[in-house]
Parts: sequence; structure tokens; C-alpha cells
Amino acid sequence: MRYIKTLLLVLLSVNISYSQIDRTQPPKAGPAPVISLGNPKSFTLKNGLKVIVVENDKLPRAYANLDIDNYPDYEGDKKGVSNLLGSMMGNGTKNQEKDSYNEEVDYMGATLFLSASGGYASSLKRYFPRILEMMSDGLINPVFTKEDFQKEKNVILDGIKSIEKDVQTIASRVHSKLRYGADHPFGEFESVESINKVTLKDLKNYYSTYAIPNNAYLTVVGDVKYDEIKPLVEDLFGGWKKGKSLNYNMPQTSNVNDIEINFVDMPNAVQSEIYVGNLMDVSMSNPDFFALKLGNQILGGSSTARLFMNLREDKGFTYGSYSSASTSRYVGTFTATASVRNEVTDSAVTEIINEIYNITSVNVTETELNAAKEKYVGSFIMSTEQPSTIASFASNIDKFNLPENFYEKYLENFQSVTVEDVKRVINKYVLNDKLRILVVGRGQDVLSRLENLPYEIKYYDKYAEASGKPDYSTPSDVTVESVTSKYLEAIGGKDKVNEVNAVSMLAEAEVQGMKLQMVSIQSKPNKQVTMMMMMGNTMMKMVFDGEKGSVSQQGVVNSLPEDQVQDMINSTLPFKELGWASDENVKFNSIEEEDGKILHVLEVSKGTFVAYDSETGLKYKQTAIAEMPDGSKMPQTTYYEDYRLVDGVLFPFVIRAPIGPQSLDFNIVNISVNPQVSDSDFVIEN
Amino acid sequence: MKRIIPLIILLAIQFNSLSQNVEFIEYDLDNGLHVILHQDKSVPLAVTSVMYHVGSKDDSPDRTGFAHFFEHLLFEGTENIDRGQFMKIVESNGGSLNAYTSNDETYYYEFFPSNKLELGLWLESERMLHPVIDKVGVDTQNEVVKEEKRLSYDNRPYGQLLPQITQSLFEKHPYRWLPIGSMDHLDAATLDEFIAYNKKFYVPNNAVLVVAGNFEIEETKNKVEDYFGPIPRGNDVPRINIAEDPITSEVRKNFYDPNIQLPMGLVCYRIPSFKDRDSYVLDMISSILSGGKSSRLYKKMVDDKKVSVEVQAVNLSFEDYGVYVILSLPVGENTLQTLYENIDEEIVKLKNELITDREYEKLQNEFENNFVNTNSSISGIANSLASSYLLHDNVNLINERLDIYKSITKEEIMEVANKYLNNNSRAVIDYLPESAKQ
Repeated sequence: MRYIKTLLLVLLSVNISYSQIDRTQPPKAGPAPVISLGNPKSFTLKNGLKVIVVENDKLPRAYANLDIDNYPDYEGDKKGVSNLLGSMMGNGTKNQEKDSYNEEVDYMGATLFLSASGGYASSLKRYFPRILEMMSDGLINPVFTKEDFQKEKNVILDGIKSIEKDVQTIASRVHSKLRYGADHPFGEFESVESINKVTLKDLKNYYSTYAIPNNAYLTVVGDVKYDEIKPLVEDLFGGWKKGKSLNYNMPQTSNVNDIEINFVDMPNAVQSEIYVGNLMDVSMSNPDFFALKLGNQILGGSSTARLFMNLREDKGFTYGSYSSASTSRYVGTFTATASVRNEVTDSAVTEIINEIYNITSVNVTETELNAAKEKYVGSFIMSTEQPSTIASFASNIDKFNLPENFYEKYLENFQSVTVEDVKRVINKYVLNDKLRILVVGRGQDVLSRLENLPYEIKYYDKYAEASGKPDYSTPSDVTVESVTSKYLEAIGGKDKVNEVNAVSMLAEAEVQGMKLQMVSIQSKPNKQVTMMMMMGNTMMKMVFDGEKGSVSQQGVVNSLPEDQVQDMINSTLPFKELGWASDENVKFNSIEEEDGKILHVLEVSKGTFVAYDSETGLKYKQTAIAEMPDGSKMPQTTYYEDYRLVDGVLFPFVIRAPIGPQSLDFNIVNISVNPQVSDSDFVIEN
Repeated sequence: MKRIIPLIILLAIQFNSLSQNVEFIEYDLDNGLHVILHQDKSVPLAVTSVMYHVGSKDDSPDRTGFAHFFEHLLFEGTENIDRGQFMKIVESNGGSLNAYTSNDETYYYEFFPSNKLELGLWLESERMLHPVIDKVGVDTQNEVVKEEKRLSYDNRPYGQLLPQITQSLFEKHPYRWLPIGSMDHLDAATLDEFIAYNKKFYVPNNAVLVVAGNFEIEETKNKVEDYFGPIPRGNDVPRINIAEDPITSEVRKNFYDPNIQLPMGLVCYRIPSFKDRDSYVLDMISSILSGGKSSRLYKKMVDDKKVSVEVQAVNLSFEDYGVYVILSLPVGENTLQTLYENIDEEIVKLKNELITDREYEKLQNEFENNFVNTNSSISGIANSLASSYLLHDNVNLINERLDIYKSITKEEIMEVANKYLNNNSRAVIDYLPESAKQ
């Protein structure tokens, strides 16, 4: 009996201790937390600089963030001057030379960054006064030298050149210019011409006009005391001269009247970039903000949202599809985007429109809304841990005219949004009958099917200038035969070319300061060997003996894939064009325009295109479309330039392969026509 | 006058500069689970994390990779969490999660808004109480781990760097293999072996639970008891104790990696555990040699002489031993021998001359800056608390670490360089492209 009693007691106590929890279900969340951000203190200097101080002594460090909040500025025919100025600031001052300035920052273990629209400085608490002083010195007393100006200009110019064929970048800039207008600060973009127009004087003028304290915010966050920071900031930034008030009226913007398609033809596009959206007049202080953000989260805010689930998970059209709803004091935007395979461009547009139509007219589900709230609330809370978030909250309240308790009420406001709110708000701002659809893609593949959609199509070039509908009809006199014979004629004539039995070549390129050498020998009827060497080591060797081939990379030997072997067996080296003229697998593909040249493009094998300059007849480039592991496609292009005569035949002396923003340029060191070759040059490896 | 104001403030601020303590409470549950609570009400979030004292050094030599495999396996599900749901529960609650396995420990954490702290406790207690270890889970994770090995080691340039270093310095100790282990061993393992490994190591008396963030202490203590209290204590966990013989003459070897083009020179020393004071000194030596553009090796080899593309001195230390590696890549035609000679010159200098005052001050600033920034996030603090307890036997190390660095003198730096960075006790590895093999 005693045992039973004890046992009962034990059971009972076990029951009492653990009865609170039910392991079989995830525990319920407590009430949404309230964020206590602490009250920032602020003051304004005579020159207009607003200073916000957030005392946070959690760690003995501090940082200052400077935000020069001018009206968006239209730079016009000198677009890029602000970018140039930004890249030149923070490189020494009138009081401290560049080397010493930079070394001192390192010594303190600090960070310092300045630009035309603000800056950032952070350090340990004890160095904060000094780093703040260096920030103010860099801001108020910058040095602009001719050398730096030219150097930074070249960097920016290289950048512009490198994106001229980048479909995503072109799509983004065309989209901005079309939706805001060419005379709008959000619509303009840099060009080689506009950068070249900028003079050092313009840059200095820009600095004195715009790097002013009138509408600037200096946020100081960290282990500082307001009473100590105030005199320090007054001392360091009080001498920053107030500028002339800038008056700028933002140009009017407008949405399209009906859904319309804007099309930009990019013959090199292997997938289409799609933007669907409209402008909206909604700022952060608008009470609709919360429902708008949640509605967008459900539509396209993540990889579990509707757009992604439909276009990627369900249809497999795309590598991603998302939407955004951006509020703004000037002009807000709603945008849904997708990058899709060429052949499904029209279907993807239709599905995006459907999803937009759906969310603007039918209530979302409670489950969707709750998940969106959780995600929003969760990531918002996580972000508050970073001091930079807390600082931006403080200045946002002032900049965007938000209620003082905006961020304390933030989560509560999200939680109180209902499904009806989402529908009402989304329907108000997302204009399902006034959407601008921008498609940037390869017209030849996508346009005819886009034309079947019930929307008007307007055509633009890659600078967003209106243009006519591209003409893809092929003049009847352009054929594979005509293109190849014009090429053979151009390089020296068929007779001369026929006399070439073999060609050997040595070329050099530089990769990250190291010399890369390429040796190649091609011989009739179809033999070839190519070697890549770096620092005396053979990195790659490909051999084809006329029937079979091998490729070795860093000691690993593989046989060539079967489809390549077939191509090589049929090729007529050293000049493949001799055979292409009568090869029925080689097809005329298209007429393209690039850098003002009209190109005739042949598809010489599946996914490989060779383009010839229609005027000179010379080979201009070759593009092979590679399939990436994630299923996306990537064009790899080689350009042939600087043709020179060798024994009566023209050969390109520069072979250029752009890789991202860089370029691998092979310069021919030596070409020999009809060198001594023997079969031992083409022995395949095992 | 203008300059005086900042100066006065500078002085005022310096007098105020007290060390910032991370406060914590620690206690044991009856089942041996050590609990550390760190309350920080400044942010409405909470981290739940569990560190198990099991790493690749606890794998048996014919079953390497077990500890790492378990990091994956224990996400498969529990008696109350269906397969594949672990991640989804975390995401749909606005949280995030992560895990890692090292040579000495395995760490899991969830990060939630503070009102969902209990969800984190539930998830981690489920994992500790009754994970489902079955054939489906083992087969699934076997594929995942193989893919990870291909991506992170087999196909990655310089992927064999670490095992080459550890194999050169360790003959007996399990540090000679990587946490990811051998795929053959994993293939050969039976389900019973996995179940036994779980029972041996993933028990409350071999773990520390850290809860960090915004919560009420008493309430959380009760919840911790509710969720973790019922988990049965395991057997005492055996610790390996394997001592290496000293290295008495320089080890030289070549290794050929098919995935690289540029050779790399490695100078490797065996050093003591991260618990040893000398390990802290070696951290400082790394900084003198290669921390930043004004550091000695960088300035000499990369900036001035331009013989090296990159040079780095790294202190990689573990619970029982450590490895100290100086690696560098040559520019152009420069040989690895040239690199070794340059490195040796600087080592000799360190052994015979005190560092300058400016260098010493810079070190102080750098280590203080690092120290402050490592404690800047709740998840970082949670991780530090767990490892300070489990691997260093001193939770308060989280607050004392900087004091250790600050107490190191210039003389000590010279002394430690003389003690460990010696030619006759090191390994020099020419890590070469496959194509250099003749």
C-alpha cells in the first residue's frame, strides 16, 4: 500500500510538472512582442543638418551615418556626375594626405566611407571622436585631383561598355525610362556620351551645389552620450556651409491607359526579361502601407508566394518570379518580374496578368495572410537587432512624416490587417487594367506569339527610344551559300584559301596578371590540336586525328563527346566555311544588328551561331549557348577582330571572349600558313 | 580652441570605457543537461541552441563522418514532427535555423521572434528526446552528404588542403580526418550503428542548452524543465585521450590537386589546444604577419616584392591540438621556394626582434574591435556561451577573452614564436596542380 501511494505521488507529480505541455503539437505563440527602440534625441544645426542620436551602450562602439536627403536630381546630358563625385570622395583631404588618411583609419580598426549623398563611419567608442572628425574633414574639405578624376572616369566607362549586351541591365534601365519618362530623375541613365561630357569643373560644381547640409541627416548610434555628441557634432559639422535651397519640381508621371506591351529586341537574349506593373501614389505614411505589403508578400514576396509557385513550381517557365510594392514620397511602384525561357514568354505574361487579376479581385485565404504576417513580422524583428535598422527607423520617421510611434505600432498594424483590407488595398493600387508590360528578349523567337495576346505592342530600342517593328524577313538573296562565299572571297578568295593545307598559330592572353598561351594547329582534311598553357603547364589539350579525339584537362583525359566528333569529322579545316556552303545541317538563322553593323547569322550546329559582317563579309563573332546546371542558358561569345594578311589570306589577330564584365583577349603572336605538320602532331591521348 | 573640445570629449569617453559584460545564469537539470540563460530585453527575439560535445574526433577510425552525418540526420524528424517538417515549421513561424559540425562539437540553433521561444524549445527537445532514425532518413541523408562532399571537397579547388595539413601533422589523433569523413564508412554502416551512436552522444548529459534573448527567467526555467526535464540521462560519455609524439624533423611532401591551376605553398606547425594561452598569442602573430595590407608578410610579399598573389597566416586550433598554417600563392614564375624563404625571414625576425610600439597598439585596437563585434548579435553570443562552457569549461570566457589578449606582451609574442615556429618541427607541403606531376 505504501508503495502504491508513493507510486501515485510520483505519477501525480510527474503529471503536475509536465501537464502544461502537449508535445504532439507545436506550441502556440505568445502575443506579438512590442519593440522598444528607445527614444532617439535630436537637434538641428544652424546650417540645417538634422542630427539624431541613439544612445545604445550595449557595446563600446559607435557609428555615424550621413544621409544627404536632397530632392532626386535630374542630371540630364551629364548624367553620371554624382556617381563620379562619389567615387572620388574619401580619398584624403586638404588637411591630410591620402596615404596617411587611409592608414589612420586602418590603425584604429575603423571603417569610413563617403559619397555625394552621404557617408558612414564606425569605430570603437574611444576612436569615435577621431573617426567622426575624419568623416567631417573628408566631407567638408575633399581633394579632387585630375589623376583620380581620369582614373575613376575610366572605371565607370568600362562599366558602361561591359553592360551593353547585358539583357537584364538593359531591361531594367529601359523599364525605368519608359515608366517614369526621359526627363525624370528616376528615368535617366548613364551613357558613354554623358560621362565623357562631365568635366572636373562640373564635378566640383556638383559637389558645392548638392553636398550641402540643408536637408541632411546625421545619425549617431552607439555608446555615446547625447550631451557629449552634441558639442562635438556642432564643432565638426557646424562649419559645413549651407547651400542654396534646391527647388525641384518632380515631372508629372502617368500610367498607361490600357494594358500595353513595350518590346525591346535583343537578338543575343537567351531568355526573356518581363516586367509588369504600374506607378502608384502611396507613401509609407499612408495607412494602407501594411495591407499593401502583405498583399504583395502573398502575390510575389518570396519563393513560397503565388507567382513563384505558379510560374516556377507548377509551370516550370522560369528560374524565379517575384513582385514588389515600393512606397515613395515621390512616386511609388508596383512591379512583377520574371525571367523566362524564350518559347514560353507569352504564356508567362498571361500567367502574371492572371495572378494580378486574381489577387485584385478575389480575397486571399486566412492561411496565406497569416503566413505572410509571420514572415513579415519575423524578418522585421530580426532586422531590429542591427543598429543600422534602428538608425534608419529614426530618420525615416522624420523624412517620411511618420507618426512618432510608427515603429512601435508596426507589428500591431500588420497583425490587424484582414483579408478584406488586402483585397481593397491591392485593388486600389495595383491597376489590373493599366499595366505596362515590358518584354526584353529575342524578337525572332518570341514576338509572333506575343502578337497573339490581346494587347497593343509598342517597340523600343535598348536606349528606350521608340522604334519600328523589327523586320525578320530574310532577303531572298541571303543564303548559307552567299554568306560563306562572301566570307571566303573577303579573306582572300576561294583559290587562295584552297591552297592553304594547314595553319599553325600561337596566341597569348593575360589572366589576372598571368600569361595564358594558346597553340593550335589545323590541317586538311579535318585534323586539329589546341593547347592552353599557363606558366609552362599545359592546362588543356584537345586533339582530333580525323576520326576521333581526346581532351585532357590538368592530367585528366576524356574522349570527345559523340556530337562533337561528328561535327569534327565533317569539318573542312582550316576553313570550315568551305564545307558549310554545302552542308544541309548549316542553316541561315537571322539578320542582326550590333554596334551599327548588319550581321548575317548562320546556325552551324545546334546552339552554335556564327555571325558575318554583311558589309565586309568577314566573320564577326561566334556564339555558343551553354546550358547551366540550374537549367538557365548562358551565351558564350567570341569576337574576331583586327584581320591581317598572312601569305595572302586574312586572319583575325585578336580573338576576344567577354566573361562577365571582363574580357579574355587573345592576341596572335604568330600565324604560319602551310607549316610542316605530320600525323605525330595529332596523336590522341589515352 | 577648436581642437580642444574634441580632445576633452575624447578623454571623458575614455574614462567611461568599462568592459561590457555578457550576463548569464547557468545550472544543470537532473538529467545532466547544462542550461545557460542570457537575457537581453533590448530586442524582441530569442535564440534556442544546443551544442553537443561530439565532433569528428569522436568518430571511430573505421566509421569516420558519423558526427557530421548526424547533424543532417537529426533534421529528418521526430516522433511528433513528420519527415521534412522541421524546416517548414521554422519558416512559417518567421524564424530561421542553422547547424554545423566541427572536429569537437555539433551545434544547432533556431532564431525566432521572442513570442515563439517555446517553439524553439519544443523543436530542440524533440530532437534530443526521440529523433526518428530509420532507413529512409539514413538513405536520404547519405545522398545529401555525398553531394556535399563532392561540392565542398572533391570538386572544389584546394578542397584537399585541410586533410593534407592535418595528415602531415597528426599520426594518431582523429584530427587527421575531416568531419565529413569517408563515404565508404558511411555506406558500410548499419542502422543499428547509427542508433547506438545517437544513444551514446546525443544525450542531455553531453550537451548544453543556451537560450538567449528576450524572455522572463523564471518562466523560461520552468519551460526548459517541461521540455527537457523528461529526457532520460545517458551513460557517461567517454572522451578520447590520444597524445601525438613530437615532430623532430621537418616533414616535406608534395600533393597534386586536379582542380587547381596555381600552386600553393604551405608551412604548417602543430600547436597546442585553443584552451592554451599560447594559442591566443599565436592569434596575435597571425595578425602581425597577415592581418591587413600593412601586415608584415602581405606588405613584403604581395605589395613590395610582388612575389605572392596572396599570403595568410592562420591559427586553426581545436580542443586537443591546433594547427598553424602559413599559406601563400606565387605570382608568375616565382617558385614556392622563394615564398618559403620570404616567410622564413619574417619568422626569424619575429623570433629575434620585438614588434614595434605602433604594431603593438594596432594589435590592441584590432583585437578589441573584433571582440566587441563578436558580441554584437544574440546568435553570436549564444554560440560563444555554448562553446565557452562545453569546450573551455568556463562560460565567463565570453567576457574574459579580451583581457587575455590585452595581457599578452611583446616579449611573450617573441617567446611563443620561438617555442612553436621551428623548422625541425614543421611540415612543408607543396600543393601543386595535377599537371605539374611528371
